[in-house]
Amino acid sequence: MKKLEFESILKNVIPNLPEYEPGKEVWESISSNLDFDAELNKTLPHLPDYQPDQNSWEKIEHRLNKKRRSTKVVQILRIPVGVAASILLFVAVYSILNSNHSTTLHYSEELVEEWTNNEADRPVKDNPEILIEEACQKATYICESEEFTEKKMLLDKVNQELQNVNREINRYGSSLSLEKAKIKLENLKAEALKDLIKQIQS
Amino acid sequence: MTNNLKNIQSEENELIAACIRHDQIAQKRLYEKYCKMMFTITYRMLNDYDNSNDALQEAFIEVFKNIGSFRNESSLGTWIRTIVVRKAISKLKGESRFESLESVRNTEIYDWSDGFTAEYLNKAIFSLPDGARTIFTLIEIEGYSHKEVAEELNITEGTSKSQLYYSKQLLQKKLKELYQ
Repeated sequence: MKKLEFESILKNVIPNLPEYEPGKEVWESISSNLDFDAELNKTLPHLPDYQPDQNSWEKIEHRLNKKRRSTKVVQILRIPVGVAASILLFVAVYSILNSNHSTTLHYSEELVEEWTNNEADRPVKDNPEILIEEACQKATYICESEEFTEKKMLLDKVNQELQNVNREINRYGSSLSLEKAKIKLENLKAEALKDLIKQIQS
Repeated sequence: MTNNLKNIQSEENELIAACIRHDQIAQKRLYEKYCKMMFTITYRMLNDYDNSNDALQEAFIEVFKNIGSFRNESSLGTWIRTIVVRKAISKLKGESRFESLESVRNTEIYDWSDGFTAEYLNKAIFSLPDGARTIFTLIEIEGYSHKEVAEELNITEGTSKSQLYYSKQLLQKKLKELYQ
């Protein structure tokens, strides 16, 4: 109740509070600042412009070209590196899946008559894949076994990956990672062929 | 007038498209169109010729790298200026960028009825401390708002306002000295 009384008195008294006049210098200061602002606005558009260093563009161009070159190299390397990585992954997965096979070491002497890098140039009698095909035509029951078809599918997949690697090498040139992948694939192929021939001979 | 504006816009759009394709002639044309305007900003903010050149170069590299993301929401010049201003801010030294207002509290009252020249004003601007000069340049010369300045410099709007007041008081003092 007392609080309400005070509020109502306050409301009546506030309008009767005295007023105070500022010092003369306050307006002088405001006026001076306003004059200064007006002069400033008149003068600012006439401020001089500045030129950058004469070599500034050459430096920018040089840095842009450097960036462009490094981006190009990254783009060129992206495909072969990607292919190599996928092949290495394939090889790694294959190795893990076959890690439970017991390993036996065989020592034998191989007689090499003639060697050619290109499989197509090899005589038919030396090409194990053609020999396997011929054997399958004669004795189909061996080639229809689950173990044989599994190995054959693996051989086909390895051949396909080898073709991809060779294509990348022809297109972009050789690199250490591509050569490593090729060697691993060729080893896998040799192993698969050996298994297939063993099955035919048994 | 409207046709002229349309022509300018379509020319600028072609220039932007060519820059996106990394056309070096277009990149140089864009640089030449804006370099003087942008260098003047960096030089006014940094008050150091070499540092300003570095800021300008870094800004234009960023402009060409990101020009594909320019969305016509502002003019190309405004977009480039934002990048240039940010580069210049990053080059400003962190320590004591914003000085106290105490030194100009009880300043004299000056008579400006005779005006002052751009040459003297220019000299006076370069005599300002880094923080005050940056804020004066951005607000009074480049037309930034206090809100925009506060965002760019990571300060409060209040600091921006008080630093602008401070810079103007210092400018008046310096101009009077120059005219004596």
